[in-house]
Amino acid sequence: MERRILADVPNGAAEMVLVLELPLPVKAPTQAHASVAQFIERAAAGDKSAFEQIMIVSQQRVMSMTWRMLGNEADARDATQEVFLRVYKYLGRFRQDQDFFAWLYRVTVNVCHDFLKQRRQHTDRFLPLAEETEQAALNVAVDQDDAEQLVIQTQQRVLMARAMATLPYKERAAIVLRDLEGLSTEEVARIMKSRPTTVRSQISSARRKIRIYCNRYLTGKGREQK
Amino acid sequence: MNCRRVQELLPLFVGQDLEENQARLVNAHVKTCDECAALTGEYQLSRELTQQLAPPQFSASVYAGIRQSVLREIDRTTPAAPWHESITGVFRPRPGWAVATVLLIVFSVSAVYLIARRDSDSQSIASDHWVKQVLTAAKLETEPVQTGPSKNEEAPRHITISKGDRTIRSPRNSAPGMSAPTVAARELPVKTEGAEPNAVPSRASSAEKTLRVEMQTADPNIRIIWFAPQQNKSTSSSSKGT
Repeated sequence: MERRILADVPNGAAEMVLVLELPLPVKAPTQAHASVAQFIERAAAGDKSAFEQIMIVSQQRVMSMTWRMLGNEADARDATQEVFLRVYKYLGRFRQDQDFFAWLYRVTVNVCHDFLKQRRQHTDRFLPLAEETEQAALNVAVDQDDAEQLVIQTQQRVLMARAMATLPYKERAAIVLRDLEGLSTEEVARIMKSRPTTVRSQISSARRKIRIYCNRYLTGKGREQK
Repeated sequence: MNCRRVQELLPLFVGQDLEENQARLVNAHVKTCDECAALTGEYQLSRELTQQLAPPQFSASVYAGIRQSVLREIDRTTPAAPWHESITGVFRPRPGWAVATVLLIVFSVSAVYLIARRDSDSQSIASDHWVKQVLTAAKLETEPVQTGPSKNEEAPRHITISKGDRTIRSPRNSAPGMSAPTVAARELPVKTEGAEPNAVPSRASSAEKTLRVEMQTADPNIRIIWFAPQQNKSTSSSSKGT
């Protein structure tokens, strides 16, 4: 892990500010990557048991992505099924030197895009999510302090879900992949078949809109920005 | 860097998506500007809230149901391989098979061509041999050949030998294109139809025998005629033939 030391010395300051910058470690190939690689070739040849293993390794990732993009469990399940069907269909075209999960994300983004186009997703589609989230939170038996905290958290989640629903599809996909899935800007650009500068622009616009939405409901300020 | 420019870069700054130089400048400005610092806090809060948008914990049964649906759909759309597929699968087209097939075809065509050519040669040899047999079998007496007034002129001559005729059929293995031709070795009186209409046929002093063998091919318009000069043993004349 590389460490950099930045010395910020304000003019006229009596003391020196020492800043340690510790970059995050590079993503090493995870165990999931290694386990999937051995199943891909067999699954491409038609081995269904190998394909089922691929699904087991990647199902949670796909399901969370589709849920975040589509906003409700029913659509997320349908989209997840469609993602795996397409993966099985096109697995023969997958090259072993490619990153499987990046390819999987690309398929997921395309499937979610098709779902949104087909079902004409609107903001109100996130209401079931809000209701589901709120109901699930209230069903959990907690003490008074925790209950209050839980309600706050639930409201915040509902708020964010609605904020996400206001975003255009590409901005939503970019912010989900960058902030929620933790991918780098370059990886997001490869998945969305776009340029890194375009992705940064989409991420910037998405964060700006989310901030304005949150401000409007949290603080009531609704401060706009150019 | 002014506030307006910094505020444009703040959404990327909070997510560490700026270049190093730009991030340093924005950071330096934010430390000195309260308004930009407050705005930075709002961006950080909204980003933290965004990252808390975690999906619910789906149960194992949900995932199992998804997998079963996918596998069921795969079985439904993928037709079952027929029983003979296990056998024909061995003979699926492969590049090596294609090259071998092409070479085999080329070799076969070449072999057929060579064999056919050899047969035609042997048949032509056989037909020549048959002609010789016909010539030797035909015992004909011919009138001496009558020449025209000028020996040097190459006048077309048609010598017909009329003295009875004997029809000899060609053997079955005749040359290709001739189906059961009819050979007539005729013994006809010799008369000359030369280019010289005024030529008076006369008997030459030197007796010369010319055997005419006619072979009618399957095509009625084609007839093969051999003229074989035969040296008369009793005379010492030179033979002429066409």
